[in-house]
Amino acid sequence: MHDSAGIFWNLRRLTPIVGMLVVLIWSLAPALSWELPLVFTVVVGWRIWRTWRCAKPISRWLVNVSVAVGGLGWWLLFPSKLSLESAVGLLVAGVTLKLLEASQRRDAFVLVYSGFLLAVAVFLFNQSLWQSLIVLTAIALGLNGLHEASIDEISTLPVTRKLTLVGLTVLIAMPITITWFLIFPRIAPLWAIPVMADAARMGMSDTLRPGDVSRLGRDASVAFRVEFDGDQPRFDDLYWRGITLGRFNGGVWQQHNHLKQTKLGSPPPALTNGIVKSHYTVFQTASHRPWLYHLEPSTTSQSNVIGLTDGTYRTRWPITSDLSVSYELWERDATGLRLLDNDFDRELYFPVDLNPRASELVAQLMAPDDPKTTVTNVLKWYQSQPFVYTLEPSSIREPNFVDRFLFETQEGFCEHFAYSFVALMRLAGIPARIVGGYMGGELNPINNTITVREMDAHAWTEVWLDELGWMRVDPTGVVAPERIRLGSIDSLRSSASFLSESPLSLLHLNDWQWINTLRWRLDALNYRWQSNIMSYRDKQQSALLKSIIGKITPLRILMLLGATLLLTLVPLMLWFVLRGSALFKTSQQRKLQHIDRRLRHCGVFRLEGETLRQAVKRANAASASDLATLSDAVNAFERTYYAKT
Amino acid sequence: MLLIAINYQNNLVYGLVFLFGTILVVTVHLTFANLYGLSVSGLANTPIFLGQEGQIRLHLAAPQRRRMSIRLSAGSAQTSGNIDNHHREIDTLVAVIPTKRGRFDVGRIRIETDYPFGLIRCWSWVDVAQPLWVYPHPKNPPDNPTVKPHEGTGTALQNATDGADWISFRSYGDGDPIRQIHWGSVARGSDPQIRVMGRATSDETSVFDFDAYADVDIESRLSWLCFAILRAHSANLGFTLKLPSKTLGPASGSDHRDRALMALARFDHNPDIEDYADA
Repeated sequence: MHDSAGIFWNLRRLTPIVGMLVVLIWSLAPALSWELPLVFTVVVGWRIWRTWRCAKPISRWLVNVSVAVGGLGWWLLFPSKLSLESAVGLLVAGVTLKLLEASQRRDAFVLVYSGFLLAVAVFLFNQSLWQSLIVLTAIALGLNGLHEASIDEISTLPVTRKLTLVGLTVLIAMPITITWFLIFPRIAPLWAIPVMADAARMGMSDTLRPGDVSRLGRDASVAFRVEFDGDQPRFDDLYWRGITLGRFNGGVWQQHNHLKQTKLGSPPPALTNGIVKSHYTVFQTASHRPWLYHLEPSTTSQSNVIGLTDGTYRTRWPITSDLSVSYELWERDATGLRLLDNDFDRELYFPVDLNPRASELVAQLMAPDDPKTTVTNVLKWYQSQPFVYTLEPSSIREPNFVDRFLFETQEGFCEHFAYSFVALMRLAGIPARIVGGYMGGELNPINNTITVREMDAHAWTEVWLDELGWMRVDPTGVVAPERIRLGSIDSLRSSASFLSESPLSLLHLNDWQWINTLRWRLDALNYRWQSNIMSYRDKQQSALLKSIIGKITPLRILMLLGATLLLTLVPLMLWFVLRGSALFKTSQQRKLQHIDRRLRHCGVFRLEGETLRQAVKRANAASASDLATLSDAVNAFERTYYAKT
Repeated sequence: MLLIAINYQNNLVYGLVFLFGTILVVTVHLTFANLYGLSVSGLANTPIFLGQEGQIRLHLAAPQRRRMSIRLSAGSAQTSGNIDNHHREIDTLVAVIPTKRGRFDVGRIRIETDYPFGLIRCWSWVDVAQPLWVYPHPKNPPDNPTVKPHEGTGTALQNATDGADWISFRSYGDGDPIRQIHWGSVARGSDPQIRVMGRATSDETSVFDFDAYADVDIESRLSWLCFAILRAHSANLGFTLKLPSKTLGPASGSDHRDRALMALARFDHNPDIEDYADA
């Protein structure tokens, strides 16, 4: 017995809860910012120190000041207030402040419930297998925190029992969870949702400003995985198109505002007599962008995909969860897709007076009425100049970017080359545009899939040639052919900034073959996770359910659910109910019961606290017939019972 | 959360939603099991004087398994406990402050738990039906000519171990009767003590008469009588208590005192109070 008043928080209660929150909030760090998790960690350290010292809760005015500071910090940290990351940021800020002032039992529950919400938030940004395991661990920690908050500080429950309880709860919950996961109908989004305002943090952006892509070059996280059914194209043909950037606007390249949709399902007329070379499926991770990465020329008949007149594909909503799209890859000669967009006048705009030296150069290299030769001349010029391919070029902020880059700094990477090349083309009167996407990828020999990472992000160009349509030209390939030939891992690894944002990536240890093999195996596992769990949609759902229960009828689904309950909750309850009943009694208890029964036959009901001998004495008074055997039984019972102690 | 899963088309969020839902359902069972099979019984309560804090004694037993964080509440009074000792049973007290003399019934006791995760609360009501008797609040009677609480002029004590009245302790010696051992001291770990019992005698016994106080309300009279009884007892004096329906004594000793106090507590709880009302 104890009084519930007093200081609620102690280290035993605090540790699992802050453990859960630290794990989840650091999982969110790549999507948010590093500032919030850092602040949170500092608060955690402070809180642990305070709890260890058994300090009192902080004063009211300090709480108010912290709330003001936290609110201001959030306001400054998230410029767009209605985006997903600002919402998550607000949650993190709230949790931080709550931890600061938490003093009661109720606060423990608030913190853990917020933690459960954070777990959901984590899955909006990252859905890999590892992340799932981390989140599951965090949830177990949270349950442990709830349990610690529910028992007295004086209780002496052993740690193993606490762990067993949490483990058992999750274990019993699992089959029902899985069944619900399988049978719950997947319906279309009910309304538009806030998306990431700053998705460039996690991948490609829809604007190209010099310097954007280089950050991606330091990030080893997976953008998408590809599985080929049939021949794989050559490595230097793996240009994964995402978007085209044709609108030049104040030093920034952007997507055109209104790209028309093409008809889906049937391939464009020029493709009908082409040949489908192979099929492939792209498993995209949640990019919070609607673009679908694909090879050219590809078609798809998936209903959730929208085709645009620039030959790119997108989804209606930003991709917030892993998604798989199957494409047919056509013969390279099939030019139908390239002819789709004949509205190329708008791909000609570039201010003439901004870069005088570039205009001069164009005048020199231009072959009148022969765009093809002009293209070749310009590429040759790139080859002749001492350009340096580097992910850390000196930054150019002036509006005459092209002049500065082409004639002064001469160092940069794909987007510098693409930017300047498209500018030169447009100055020469040739329609041109930048294409954003990924180049290459890593072939996993374990399961023959291609893994494309953020560091494979690439920008190249397309130019319009009257007789050929849109042609892919990659000026980077002219300057730094090894980037195209070898891919990003092998061509960039010597540079200092290689994977500097993924310090823990196993890619750093690429030299050791066994680590590579390990990495490939883990990647293959992750791929299975992505292709089976994450891409579980209505089609896969009905196929799987059919294989389990035969026909999909409400009754059978209910039976499946009932069977899961029968296998989990019912045994649990039976165990609780039957424990202590005759089934689980010790032989001693059973003997005692037997003697009691015999006493009752003699008309003696043993009173509470009455020993067997006393009861037998009373039975004596009642002059029972088989008293002698009864006393013998009692003597035998007492001998065995007390012999133990 | 389900809306997040649907709107973001996120399978892992779906999974989380179902996991949380199922954990909740499992917790319902675990919480129920924490109360299931628990037996609660009332123990005899020690009578108190009005104004004191009384304690309702309860016995909780759950031979099957541990029970954690069981909360008991009666009105605003609360207590909590764990049944995780070796015997799987505990005695616990719920503190109450009765506001009236007489029989105090704690009423239904709410027994609840939200173990193991605080997500679900499971509760039940038990009626232990063990009354707590409340003596009147002892009050020094005003100077009243009809009251003559005689000061005892002398007591003679038989310095022997028999008798009904406890007088003092002495150390245990061989041959002392076991019944006189003060077990409380043994439990505290000291040497066994023997209760020295005696019989208080007085050449004169006081008479405490309910009817001696005219025109005063019943509760005040009872308070005065209570005070008189306690004073007489602490002075080892015998006394007679005269109530309208019964007369106790003359006698002395703690049994007599307890009987007398109980008679005050039960005053007008008994059917015999009707006789007084008629009179």
